[in-house]
Amino acid sequence: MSKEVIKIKNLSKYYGNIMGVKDINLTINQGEIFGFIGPNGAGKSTTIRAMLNFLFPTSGKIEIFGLDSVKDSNLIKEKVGYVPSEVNYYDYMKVRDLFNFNKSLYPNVTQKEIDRLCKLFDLNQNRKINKLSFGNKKKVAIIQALMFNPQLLIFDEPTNGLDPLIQNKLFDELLTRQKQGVTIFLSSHNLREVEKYCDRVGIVRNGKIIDVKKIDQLNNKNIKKVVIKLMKKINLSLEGISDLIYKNKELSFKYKGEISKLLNTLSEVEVLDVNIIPLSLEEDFLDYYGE
Amino acid sequence: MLIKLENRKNLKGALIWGGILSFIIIIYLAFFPSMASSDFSELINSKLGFMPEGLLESFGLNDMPDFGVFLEYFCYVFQFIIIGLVIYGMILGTKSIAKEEGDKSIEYLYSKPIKRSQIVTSKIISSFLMIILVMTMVLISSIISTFFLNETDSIKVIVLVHLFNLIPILAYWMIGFIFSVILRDDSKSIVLALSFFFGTYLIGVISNTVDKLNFLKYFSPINYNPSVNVYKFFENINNVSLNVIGIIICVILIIGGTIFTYLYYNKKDLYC
Repeated sequence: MSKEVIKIKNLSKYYGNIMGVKDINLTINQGEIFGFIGPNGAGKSTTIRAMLNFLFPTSGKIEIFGLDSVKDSNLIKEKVGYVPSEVNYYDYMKVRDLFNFNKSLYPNVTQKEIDRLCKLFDLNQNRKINKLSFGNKKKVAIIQALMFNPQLLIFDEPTNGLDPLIQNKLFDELLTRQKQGVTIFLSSHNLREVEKYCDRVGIVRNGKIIDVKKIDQLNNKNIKKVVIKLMKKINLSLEGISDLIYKNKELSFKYKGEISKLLNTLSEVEVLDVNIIPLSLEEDFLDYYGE
Repeated sequence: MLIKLENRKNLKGALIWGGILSFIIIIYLAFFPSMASSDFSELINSKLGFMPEGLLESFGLNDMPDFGVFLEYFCYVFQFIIIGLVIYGMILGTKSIAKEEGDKSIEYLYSKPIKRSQIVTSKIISSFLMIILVMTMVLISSIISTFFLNETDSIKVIVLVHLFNLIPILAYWMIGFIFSVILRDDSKSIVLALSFFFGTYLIGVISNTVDKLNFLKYFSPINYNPSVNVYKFFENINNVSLNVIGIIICVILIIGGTIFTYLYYNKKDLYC
């Protein structure tokens, strides 16, 4: 049985009368990359902040590495690397100063590792933090979170502001660490990266977790999105079709069933073009948020 | 290491405040020889004679300062320096925690294996050191001035007046910390610090001018023991005594404020 790294039990957080999150239950195992998605204000950041004890739960409990997130917060943070969605450091510092300070907080951080990460992410340590672009500040956040070889990484929108090359390098690094047993909690609006790299995904909406699924479950290969260009409108009748829309001589629908049956049906009508696309996480995700 | 980080943040501001206050006291004290001349002294004394006694009391001038005596002149000038030092201390306290929450850099510290009490301790120690630094700069400037004015006999009292005035400065500084730990960011911290200070200062002035409102003097730590009283107490002049209750209130504010800051901060939610 996999070792549980994060265990959230009935977590609720209220800001006065306003609900931040309610009855969140979540278990994340060692070595998992867990995607955490949901619209703005859904409760993602509140959950992360409660995990790191920025916020005190109104009720419920969070255990990380079997330790209590409130009482043992310091012990937990010795093993957790955190990248916030908005990066704010001390503007008067140079990148090198911040890394030196960060280094002093953990045992066994080597300058060699810092230099390796700076080279990997193409970051100049001699620059002042207030002179850095948004993307470069994000790199600082990523390096400070990785330099001490944490066992759990909590990343909130880590690729926001990074160019595609650096994004790939980041995920290569994360996948390498995953193989070494590191657990990664990834909150993101970039559904493609969640789909590509995560093992499971939790969807949060209105402060509640509405679903937790394995990515291969969510991105159901049996469901396709079909778009057909037609000469004239037709009545398509086949089991497994849903969400049928006809607009501008284009018929689009979702199809769950055997492709051969679909093709047989289509061969009987006059079709200009056909596109059959596997349903992406984005489509699934938007389904969750549909009215 | 955390204190070093704080010191680096605060040092520039401390040097600016220390520099300005030192410059002011040097300039003021440079006027002493001309103020001490008999004609001018007479003029000032006659003008002050027309001012309401209460107003003079509020400045500690009820016994009419004799500008011919260096220490009396120094204490008069030092009233304004103390106002500057209190404002500096109060702003420093009020911004200490709130600024970091406003800048959101606190999110970085919170994600590290650093206890919240360590964060408070580093801020308290660093800002205390900054107040001492600014005070030391002013003290050194005052002492240097005495050499130019051939008033080196006054150095002992000058040091005592500086040290004694640390008490109300630290009381305001700690009230600033209480505000800082309650505030969610620093956008209103300077306005709050200045309003509070000038509010209490005004209360002190009113309490000295209106007899019926004399009890209000306890709401104004800066007015508990004016520098001139401190000087006269240490020099045994006119049997002037110190306001011991005022000193006790300041000490309670400093200790109570420190305890409150730790307790509140350890339970505070971070909104950023």
